Amino acid sequence: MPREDDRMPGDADINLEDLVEFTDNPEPRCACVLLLDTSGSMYGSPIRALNEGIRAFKEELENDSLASLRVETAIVSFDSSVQLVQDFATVDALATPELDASGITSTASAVNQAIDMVEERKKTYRDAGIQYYRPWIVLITDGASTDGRSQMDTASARVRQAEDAKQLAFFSIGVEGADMDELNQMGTRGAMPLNGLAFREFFVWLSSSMTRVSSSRVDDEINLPDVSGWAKL
Amino acid sequence: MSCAEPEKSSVWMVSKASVTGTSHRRTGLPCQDSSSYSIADEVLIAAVADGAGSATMSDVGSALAVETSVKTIERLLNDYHDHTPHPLHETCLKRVVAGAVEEARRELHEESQRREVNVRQLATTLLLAVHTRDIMAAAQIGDGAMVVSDGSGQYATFITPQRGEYANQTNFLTSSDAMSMLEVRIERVNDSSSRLAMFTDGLQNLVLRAADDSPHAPFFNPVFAWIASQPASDDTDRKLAAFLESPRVTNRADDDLTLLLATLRE
Repeated sequence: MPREDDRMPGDADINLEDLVEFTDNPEPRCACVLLLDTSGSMYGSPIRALNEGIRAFKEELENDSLASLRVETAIVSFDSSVQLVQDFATVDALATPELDASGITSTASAVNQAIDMVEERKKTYRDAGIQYYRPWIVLITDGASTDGRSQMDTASARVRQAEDAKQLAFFSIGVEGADMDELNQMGTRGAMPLNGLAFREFFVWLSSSMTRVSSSRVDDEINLPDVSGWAKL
Repeated sequence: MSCAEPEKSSVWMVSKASVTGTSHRRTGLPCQDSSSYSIADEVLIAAVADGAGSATMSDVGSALAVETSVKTIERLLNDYHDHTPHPLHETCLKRVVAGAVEEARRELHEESQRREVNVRQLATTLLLAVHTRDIMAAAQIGDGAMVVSDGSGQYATFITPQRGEYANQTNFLTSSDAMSMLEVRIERVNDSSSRLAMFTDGLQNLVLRAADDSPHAPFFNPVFAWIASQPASDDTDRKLAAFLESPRVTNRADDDLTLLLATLRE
């Protein structure tokens, strides 16, 4: 090694880290719709646990500097009607709601709205020249849909079609009391039953899954973290 | 094989590094990127590869892909020069790089049989370059890119990333239809001070403009000035790795990172 005073300034010892500049390209985005059942049966401890779970989701995402920039979350609640509680936002702009529970369970309408939302969001990304990951829709429900059978069949078929075309990834989580047969029709990956009210554990898992999806490159499959912390297996 | 004979190889100055992404560290994944190169006389053969994040042995796959393809090109070029006094022409070089990609594919399939796993578990991209004084070839399946410069400060993306709709989607060497995805580009080189940079997708968004994949000169200017200033005997690979692991880079990129820099020096 040459001694310090032998070196020419700006010569072999220049520090690349101090010299390079990077593009100001936008970060690629990962859209995620939380589709939350707020019907009457969720009243009491389930809805409280759900609200707490969403707060945990935000906290966990905030801990990851790149996921904070990349993951865009929207929250849609459904009971007798479907409400957009939070439009797509990165975690810094994500307001955690205090959801109330009442009314019936308009699952089919909610699913349709979520699919429309992710398709529209992808178009927004494309128009803005922003790269994106496959969007996620996460349905959480504790009941059976009160929408008509044919409406549910149509929504289920739409989910399966969208998943087959890799337009989105759909996850169904059944809280105790959920119609698991109905949920299993929804999408291609099968519904997962939540263990008790392990919403916090579920949302921590969801955050780390989103972090994983939005960072490392994947083949066709998504290699997800272990679900044993929240799923009843 | 790298820099084993400094007198003979002194025309090419090459440095390469692959480092584990911060997201891989967090989830306990190894570095799944690999790179390799060889220099013989004035010919540089270089390869970088990025193993798929969801494949369990893609670190093995990417290492095998770069080693096999570089060795195959060496062998095919030697065969060629043993049998003909003529300089290499375009069609022939095209066959050589495509043959190397085929060979790498075959090797991955054999390895998967040896390990008794589906070849998908070795899924990897592959980006190859061959540079002689007067002809340059690149071949690619997957993403990652190659930027070239004639030393005048003008840069061009010689090979752009192959992308799907999604940011984390690309083609892999192990796919059954991989050879139909193979992209080969061959150009005559007239300049004597050629420079090239090859990198995997971890760096893409930082150094290529998203709108048109054009090179971001404020990145490449200092990087090529740096490699040109390195003494041939110096430990440049270690410095390059330290750069890729520095916060300036890891604040913007959490995937595995590979950068291979080469400059032709008089």
